[in-house]
Amino acid sequence: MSEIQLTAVSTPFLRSVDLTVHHGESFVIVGPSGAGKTTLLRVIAGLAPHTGQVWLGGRSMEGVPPYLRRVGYVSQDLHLFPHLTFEGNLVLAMERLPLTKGEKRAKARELAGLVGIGGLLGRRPSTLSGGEKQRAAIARALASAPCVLLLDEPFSKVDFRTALRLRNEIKRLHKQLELTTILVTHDMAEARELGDRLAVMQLGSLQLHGASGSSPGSRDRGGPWFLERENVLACSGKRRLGNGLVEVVCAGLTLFVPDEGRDFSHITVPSSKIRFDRIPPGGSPINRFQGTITAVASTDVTVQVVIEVNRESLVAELASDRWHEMGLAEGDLIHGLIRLQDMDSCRCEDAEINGQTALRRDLV
Amino acid sequence: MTRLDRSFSVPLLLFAFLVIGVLVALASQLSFGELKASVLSSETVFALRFSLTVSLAALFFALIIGIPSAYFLARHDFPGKGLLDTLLDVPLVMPPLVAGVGLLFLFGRTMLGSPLADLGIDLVLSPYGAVVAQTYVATPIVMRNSKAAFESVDRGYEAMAMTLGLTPLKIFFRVNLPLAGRTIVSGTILAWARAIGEFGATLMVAGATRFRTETLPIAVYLNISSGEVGIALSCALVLVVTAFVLLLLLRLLSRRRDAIDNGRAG
Repeated sequence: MSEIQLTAVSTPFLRSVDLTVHHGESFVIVGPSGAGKTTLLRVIAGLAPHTGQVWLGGRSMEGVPPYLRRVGYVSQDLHLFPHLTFEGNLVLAMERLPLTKGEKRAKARELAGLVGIGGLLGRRPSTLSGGEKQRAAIARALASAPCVLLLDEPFSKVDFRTALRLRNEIKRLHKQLELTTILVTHDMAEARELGDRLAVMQLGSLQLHGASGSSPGSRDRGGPWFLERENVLACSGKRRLGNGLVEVVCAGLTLFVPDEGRDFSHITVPSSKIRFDRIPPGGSPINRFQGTITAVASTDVTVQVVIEVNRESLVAELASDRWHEMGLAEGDLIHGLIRLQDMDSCRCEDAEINGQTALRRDLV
Repeated sequence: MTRLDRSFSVPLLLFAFLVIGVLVALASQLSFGELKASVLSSETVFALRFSLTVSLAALFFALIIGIPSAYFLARHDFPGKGLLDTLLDVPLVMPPLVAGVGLLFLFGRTMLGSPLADLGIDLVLSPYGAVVAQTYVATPIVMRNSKAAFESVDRGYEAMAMTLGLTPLKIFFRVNLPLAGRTIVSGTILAWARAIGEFGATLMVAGATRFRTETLPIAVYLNISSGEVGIALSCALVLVVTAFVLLLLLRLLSRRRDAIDNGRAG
């Protein structure tokens, strides 16, 4: 039985999307930023105007306001009510349920326990950590007794370790509650782990990919072009400078990395954060490098550029328009920059998966 | 402290001296016994009670007009909104006496006054006139603060509350109003202070009749005019103390808000 059905749904950001999600299914939509993933969730929740049909539980949602749809929505910004405690947030979400005050409080305790933060009911959102806030927002969405649960990039604002824990929590919750869920993410690993089925969204169009085992991104099909690649650079010769920075040698380059007070073996830089140009780009005088463009792969909207620096390769990604503006080509010499805020340090073991260097990070 | 800082502190000290000088001048005109007698006189007690009643009634009307209007303005765009928004500020910049003359003509025996009189409602030269005059000056203050407060509330909270099953009315009372609440309360205190000290508009609409339309500022005016300095001064001092208490309240509230905001940031 289909729990969620969309027929020819269009908005300024969505192009005639058709989608069917079955009862109890965990459906994942994966795609780059700006693809229309959030808009799709907002359409289902009744928060975005659209053309086409949305059906929830076999009922047309035409003219049904968001507060009558029974859709639990966890937005990227969470929007926990700051004037209420965690318990107050949960109780407010039960407003439409025919429960007494005592029953609501009991259910709040039960839900807080379910998401693993039972001891934090009396705390205000401002005093919760990123992971706790995320759990609180999921508990609040569940408190409203929804028929479907929509999760918008639920791990985007928490650290890697918390994200892994939360992934397991969500898997457990989904198994336990058998609640129809749509989760959107730009992370293929997350998508594969959490989805019974998944779909790829690009430029407002949705392409279904059946069971997650045959998902895009497996070795035979090559990684989808939009999945952001992380540059992983092994480090040596670390020296703490005492001014909040550590001096390291990575890929033959001397780089300065923010000192987070822990040991690390690699630094990672997302491909979209490598800045380069024909002339030295503006900004900080540190962490600059020179390299040669050795390969270019382009799609309609983005270009991936491989830059060879001291026999190591860095992958940079940028918008096609910007690439054409720069007028660069293979073999050209470029000046690059890695900003401090774009680097992350980790203790990792290298592993070759899907033709990319993937990381198994130390969870200690 | 640099020399420049020291020289800049001179005008500050001079003005502080002027403020204290005015307060001392007011308080030192009477002995403690005379002051006590004047404060407890039936006229001062009437003026205080009347001022509180009228200003609180005006505040009530200012809130029920100002808050929904502010919410509408903060949430909707429509042609001519900028003009309307500017127009609503006119009572803030209009000399109160002029506002009073306007209200007098509007509610006098012409225009709105006649139909109201037919219904048995006579606002001019009556205590109700004082409520109208004070509502007129207090409402834009409530509206201005409330509008800014509602504009500062992230619309995402409203969207989230909707998905949780809250109706728009519940969202207004349970989400938007509490989130905007502190700024609205600050505006309310300011509006109350403005209403309780209102003189010009009240004088024109309600008149200055002892023991009938005698607010504290009107009592000061009447008694200074008739040479009853004791009662005039006691009423003036009661006004100053009331204003001071309201300012303190406002300050306490903003300090509490800072503490909460800092807590949120952390």
